[in-house]
Amino acid sequence: MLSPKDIDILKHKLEEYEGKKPYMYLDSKGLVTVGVGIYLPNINSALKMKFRVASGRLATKEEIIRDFNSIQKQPKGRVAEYYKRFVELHISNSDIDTLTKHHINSFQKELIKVFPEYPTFPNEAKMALLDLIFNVGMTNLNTQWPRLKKAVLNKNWEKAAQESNRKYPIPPERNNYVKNLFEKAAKKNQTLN
Amino acid sequence: MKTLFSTMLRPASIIACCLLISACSTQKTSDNHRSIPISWTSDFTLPDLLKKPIKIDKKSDISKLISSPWYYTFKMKNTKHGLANFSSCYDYFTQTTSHTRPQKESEMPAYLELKSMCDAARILMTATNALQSYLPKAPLDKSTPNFWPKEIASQISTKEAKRTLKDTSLKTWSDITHINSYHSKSVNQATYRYTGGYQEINILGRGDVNHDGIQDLIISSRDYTDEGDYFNMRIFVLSMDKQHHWHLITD
Repeated sequence: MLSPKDIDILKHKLEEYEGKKPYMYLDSKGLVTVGVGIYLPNINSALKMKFRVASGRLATKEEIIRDFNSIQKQPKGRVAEYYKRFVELHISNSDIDTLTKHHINSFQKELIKVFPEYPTFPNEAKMALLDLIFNVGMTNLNTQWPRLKKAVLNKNWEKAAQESNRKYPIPPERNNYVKNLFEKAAKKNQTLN
Repeated sequence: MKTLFSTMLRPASIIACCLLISACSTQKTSDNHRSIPISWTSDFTLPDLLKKPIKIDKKSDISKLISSPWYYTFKMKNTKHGLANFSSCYDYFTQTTSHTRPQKESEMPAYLELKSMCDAARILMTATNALQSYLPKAPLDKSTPNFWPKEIASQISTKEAKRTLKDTSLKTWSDITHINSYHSKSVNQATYRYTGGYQEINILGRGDVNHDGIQDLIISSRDYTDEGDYFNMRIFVLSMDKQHHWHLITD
């Protein structure tokens, strides 16, 4: 698995792409979300979070339900800041960090399901795959990217670099970041061989 | 559907229309003197995305949307003037480049909503009344992906998309992505699911966009993946010819 330093790098990348919001908001799908893209599928999942009121006191069940319901009825497709006016609760920065790291680890487990040799991949390849899976999800990566999948299964990192590009609206910087990671993995392989 | 001339129809033309029920129901015209007005649906959401929502009753109202402030000001980069604020469709139209995006990447989905609706507004503004229409009343059904062009299919991989666009044996949306399920939310909105993602299609309006006299359909596609934060929003103009074949006018 990845080192704490690599996980920190990924955490910062995720914060950049997803934003980091301590309050509940609707993501582009219209789903209630908190922190760095942590999806709250229902009230029960929201109740498991350490939401707090402005004074710092832990929120009651009723307060969390009120925030959740208030957000759920808003229109989707707005900037996260838009939803701030409809909620009163927040979670702490350290709680968001813990959730994000847990999120990253859960994605690593998903990647092992598709690529059983994932734990033996060079760190750069792992980081590239994690960026892709955060963005498109495991099912899409597994079914809609046949050539990339084949390249990864064959540990052909050069080919993976060529196949990793995502269309607009993915920023060129993000595409280059992933491509460079795969290329670094390819160079590492060449050195080892 | 709100229609441009709905309030301007003369009683005589209403009677004539009622006498020609079959012609009216298919929106076909038997002569070139009658025109099919531009129309838009409630899924054209630009009025709701403004600081102060504006009601649009007629085509000329759409131009008011262009200069009206958005509900949010986006700090943008790579505009014609470098860093700039976009707070209206006018800002977007006059300052955008192909590399323009929000300074905060996390604001991209919300920006795409506004950008797409501004594009749709511009299309509606330049569209004219049609002389004829072959469009079905309810174009969104289970079989739609079997007939709509392949460009509608959501593809994220640049290389895979290039390959499928080049492959002339692939012609329709369902040739690219096999649709597993279809869910209709209204006559103007449907969700099409494939393995790994889904597309939410909305009918935004109708009008003659390419000025060939035939009515075209303006649609949006919101593209999502099942997991992950991927989101794209695209606007298309489609048309149906006399032989009932769908064509892509613009994307």
